[in-house]
Amino acid sequence: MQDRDDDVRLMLAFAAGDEAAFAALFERWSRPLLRYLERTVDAATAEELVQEAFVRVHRAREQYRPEARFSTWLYRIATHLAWNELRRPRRRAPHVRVDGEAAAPIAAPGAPVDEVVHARRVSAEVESALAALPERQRAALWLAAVEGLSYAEVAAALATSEVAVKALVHRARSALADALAGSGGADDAALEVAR
Amino acid sequence: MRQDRFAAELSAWIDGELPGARAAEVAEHVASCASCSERALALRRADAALRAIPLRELAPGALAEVVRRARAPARDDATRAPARRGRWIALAAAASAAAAGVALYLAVRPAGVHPDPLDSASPEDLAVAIDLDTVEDLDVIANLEVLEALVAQEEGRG
Repeated sequence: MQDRDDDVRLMLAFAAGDEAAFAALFERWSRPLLRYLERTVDAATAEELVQEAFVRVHRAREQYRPEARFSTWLYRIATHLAWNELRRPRRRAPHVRVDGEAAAPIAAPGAPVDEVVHARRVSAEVESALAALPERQRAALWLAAVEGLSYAEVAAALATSEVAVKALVHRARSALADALAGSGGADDAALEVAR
Repeated sequence: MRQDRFAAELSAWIDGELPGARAAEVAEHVASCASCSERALALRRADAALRAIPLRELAPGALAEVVRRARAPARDDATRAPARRGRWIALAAAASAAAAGVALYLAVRPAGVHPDPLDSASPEDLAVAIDLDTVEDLDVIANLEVLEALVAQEEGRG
């Protein structure tokens, strides 16, 4: 809740002309947004779309009204951009990391080689299972499970209803759990059940 | 059947999206049902797997680039993505070709004959039609002025 209030405060400060507030919002949200978009489009396009989303935030600062969380607004812009990108002919494929580059941090620094290799395999399995989901399911699950948005907020971000979000999240999470159970990926000790 | 009904609500329960009384019912059931308890754990593990995907840094200078673009005139967007700019030029050129084709057709068509325009459409014209499928893309709307300017430029050359 503190972060939520802080985002609104920063956005209102930025709307009043405080550029440092915009920099703080960018610092806070650009990486989570990149991680979200990389699940939908390739890495280079995701970086471009993160920039484009913040360009639109910058330009729309005077129209901003603190009626919703800043992140809901930001993810709505970004999702719209990403789905437009998917509709383009000859679009680049969604990014699925299989090289272990992104998986390395899952294993602790200095971890034994076999643990690092195993973490990379698990990460590739998770990415593959996630990439197999329909885009709306993937987005709904990500926003609810990773970004912690309520179903009402996910519905606002995806321009759909809460009932639809409930169904999308249920299907996506079930499919992901089944895929990971089949691959054994979810049994990995490195994956802590956070709740 | 009763178990299926609970299983269908496990996801919303995990997300804290069930009304209080219903959430308590599901919690009580999960505590006493091995199958639902196991399923809830699998669903939570799926969430944990997603959250374990690491964050990645953007390229250095990303913020400065955002601010630069945001402060630039709106049409500066036409230069940010060369591939897209090329697409607009191609679209504009194809639109010009299509317009010329239609004019030629109207000038030379035999009286009383109305063939299907798709039969005589060139590949370029069809490319325009395919691109028009993306009209719902707001970028198209946002860049209409660019397109119109490019079309006018093409017509000026012609």
